[in-house]
Amino acid sequence: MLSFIIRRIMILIPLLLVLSVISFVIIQLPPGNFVDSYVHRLQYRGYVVSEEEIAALYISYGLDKPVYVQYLIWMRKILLHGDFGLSLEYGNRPVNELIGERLTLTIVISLLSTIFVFAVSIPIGIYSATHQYSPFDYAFTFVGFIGLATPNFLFALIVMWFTFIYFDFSVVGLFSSQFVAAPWSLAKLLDMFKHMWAPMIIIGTAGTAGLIRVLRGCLLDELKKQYVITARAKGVSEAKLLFRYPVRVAINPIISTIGWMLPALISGEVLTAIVLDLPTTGPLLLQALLNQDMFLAGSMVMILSAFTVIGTLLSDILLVWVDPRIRYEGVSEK
Amino acid sequence: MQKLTVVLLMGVVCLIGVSSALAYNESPMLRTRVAAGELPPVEERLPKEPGRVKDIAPENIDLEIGQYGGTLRVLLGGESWWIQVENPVTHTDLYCWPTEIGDGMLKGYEVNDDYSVFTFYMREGMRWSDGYPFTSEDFRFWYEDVLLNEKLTAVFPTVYKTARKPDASPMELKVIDEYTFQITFDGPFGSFLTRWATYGLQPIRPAHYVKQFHPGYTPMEELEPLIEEAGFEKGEWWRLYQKKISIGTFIPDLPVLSPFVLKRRINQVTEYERNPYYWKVDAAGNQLPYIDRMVTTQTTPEAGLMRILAGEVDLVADSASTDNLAVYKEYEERGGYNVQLMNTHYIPALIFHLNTVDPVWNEVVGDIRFRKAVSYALNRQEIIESVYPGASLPTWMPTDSSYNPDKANQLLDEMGLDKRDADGYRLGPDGKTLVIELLPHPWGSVIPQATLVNAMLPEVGLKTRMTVIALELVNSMINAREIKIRPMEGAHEPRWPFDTEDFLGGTKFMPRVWYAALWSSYYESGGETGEKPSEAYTKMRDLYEELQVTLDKKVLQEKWEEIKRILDEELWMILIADNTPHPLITSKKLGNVPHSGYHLQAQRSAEQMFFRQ
Repeated sequence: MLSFIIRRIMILIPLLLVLSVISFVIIQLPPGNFVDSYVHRLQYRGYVVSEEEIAALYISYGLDKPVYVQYLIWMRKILLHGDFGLSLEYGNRPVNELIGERLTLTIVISLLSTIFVFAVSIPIGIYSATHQYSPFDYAFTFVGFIGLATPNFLFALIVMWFTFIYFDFSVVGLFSSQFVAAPWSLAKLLDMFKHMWAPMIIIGTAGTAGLIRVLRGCLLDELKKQYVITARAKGVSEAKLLFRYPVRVAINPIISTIGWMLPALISGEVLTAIVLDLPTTGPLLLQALLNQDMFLAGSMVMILSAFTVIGTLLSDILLVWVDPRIRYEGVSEK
Repeated sequence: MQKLTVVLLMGVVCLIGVSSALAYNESPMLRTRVAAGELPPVEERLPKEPGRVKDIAPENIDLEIGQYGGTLRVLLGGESWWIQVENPVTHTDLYCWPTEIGDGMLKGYEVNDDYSVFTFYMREGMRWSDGYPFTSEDFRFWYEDVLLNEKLTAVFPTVYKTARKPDASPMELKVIDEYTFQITFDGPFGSFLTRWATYGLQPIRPAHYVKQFHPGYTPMEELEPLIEEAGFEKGEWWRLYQKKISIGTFIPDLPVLSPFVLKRRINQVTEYERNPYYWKVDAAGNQLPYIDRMVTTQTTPEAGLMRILAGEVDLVADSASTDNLAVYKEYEERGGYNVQLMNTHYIPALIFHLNTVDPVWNEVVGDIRFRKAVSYALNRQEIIESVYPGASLPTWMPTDSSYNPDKANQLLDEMGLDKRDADGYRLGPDGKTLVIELLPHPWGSVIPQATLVNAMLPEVGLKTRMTVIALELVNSMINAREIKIRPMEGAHEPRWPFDTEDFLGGTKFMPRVWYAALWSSYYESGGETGEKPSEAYTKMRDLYEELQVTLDKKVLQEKWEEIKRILDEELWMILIADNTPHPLITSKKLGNVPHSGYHLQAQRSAEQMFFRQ
């Protein structure tokens, strides 16, 4: 098992290097560059940019150097200083700072949504399976499918509209206007919770439907098996039986994808964040990509890829640990 | 005895009168800082002759004396925060819209009869926002240490060369005294004044602040660590310099001359505070601005709409659109704001690209009858009702903007496009179906406009195909001369001084209106590159050059009328409507908001806005 882990980690490093090149290349692919689109947008707004300014912009962003030189400079700064460069779009602020100020909130929202998903779907999934075809089963299935079918952003719009019309409260953003720039206080925390429920539920509902169905399906398969009947015959209580065996097996698919939670935690849910105007990293990445903000976009893509790879590794390890069958079948201890 | 008392009393009264005439008033926020000794008194912070609010024409605003206080909450669209804020509420011009120059950041000017020597007078006692005096030294520094420095200015900009010709000699700047300087050209260059007044003062930076990044004033040993920190190679001080002061860089407390000073930025929210040294007063001697603080929020369209309806913003800068007009109106009372329709410079137009890589298209579009036919085929009224409610007709280019599909058909038949294919679409001169590709600029309301155009042209037998691609791709296709017809917005009719390149077909400043790249390069290179343009085009460019040299209003008007006539005859661009509206949303509590005029101007005029208590 240890050699398995070590081998996987060794592959990680060249993989990350390749990922960094790919991330950088992806950002460079669209024609033109940041300054061109920047200047065009300035001109559209009626602001005339003089030649001097355009030339100065090129120089100040280092865009007059060839692409591979820009890549090497960027890599050197990351590896030696942990400095991911400056954002062109956000007034030359350091990328580290931009991501950093949003990271905590992004993780908080993602964690809360995930907790919501698990807290809601696991009980419902188990209930649905054990009481198959009961009225509640149908009801949950129905609501689940509606949640699955409605796109997140549409749901967000509906929730926003509804709360505004009937409760005179706009759930936009995470804070009311007076608290946004204010230092942390109890009042600010309470204000945040007043706004937090909306993204939590909206992002959560999409996940719950899928999870309920998966859990229900797996559990139903397990409940039909021989050992369940045997256990019942032997007098094991229903609850003990349920949680000791079938549920453990049904959790498998959830665990194998749990690793991808890691990048999702960091990037957050983009569409909902855009509609609700949440200060998370998702919209930051979107804007960076749209504006060809080289270092910000490249850095974020690279960080997310890295977390995906690491997350998958963690997932695999977790799965091997939880499910002994894989241990014996797949990973042989040489 | 009585006489003496009377004289003394009169003397006291006179003194009081004189001193109150000289007394300026300031915001309570600043008064406390003066009392605490942090700021000099207001008389010392204002220049000897402070400026007045003149940027908005009197017919567009009912100016009142305002009250101090309040925080202005501004909503920005999703884009670069800098674009929308540096301009709207912090930009100051020398230029006083709409018909005069002067009495702005610079007090006044003098120009000789030849339009080659410009003398500028600054305001004595005017200061940057950190209290440092604003003098001719700032201009001298800009000229000698920035413009003439080869590392900072690789190519001397043509805007500062006589008559904007690339091979002419550059300008010369001379300091006369602390508050006067002179700019000289070796030939007439009238348009320099108007151009510099509107756009030219941007590169001016506070010399005392910027000198810390210039090796002429700060030794290289002190700069090297900063250069390295910024990630540049050793010795590349000019990169550090540009990075530190270029437009868009977020520098809190950078000395400025605008009414608000940048303070802080957290996520999407940027905070500004009043400039204690702002150099304008109102008619009663109150130092402007009235508003103490400004907070701008950058947001997405949906969230922005929600904030507007919930009454969380006081001024919506550019991110309001006519699409949502009905919703804005419905919640006006509940949200506590007013919606006004103002004029905008985003005039919808269709541009015909003339020098493309497709010879068949060049032949077809080169025929004036084709362009006229396209104009007649457009049902402009329908486009106005769907996309630009409140816009007006007729346009000024073409002046005959009627909807006449019969005439369109007739013209197309006449010019030889009368044969049709099996589906009823006209064949081009090469015998194949003529397919016209529409490539709209993906901004504003261009795409809905283009969709309608796309549906109208087939009705006179022209097959069309519309593609929507990203802005950068559009620009690279313009460069590659691959575009045929380009719907866009932004071709506003110029007002005085008529110095606009929007219609020239191809200069390096405004690629968004290029349509005759080869003709333009032929003209600009003196015949060395490109293709020989038509006589009308050459005449138009000649007229434009003549516009550059003079300031005489009558002459400028005449030349512009001639250019307009040529544009109307040739129709290289056709306008879809005129006076397209744009909504301006302001809080009901806000006073001194322009009630008419251009919305961009209204956005930029926060200096005189105030909150009614």
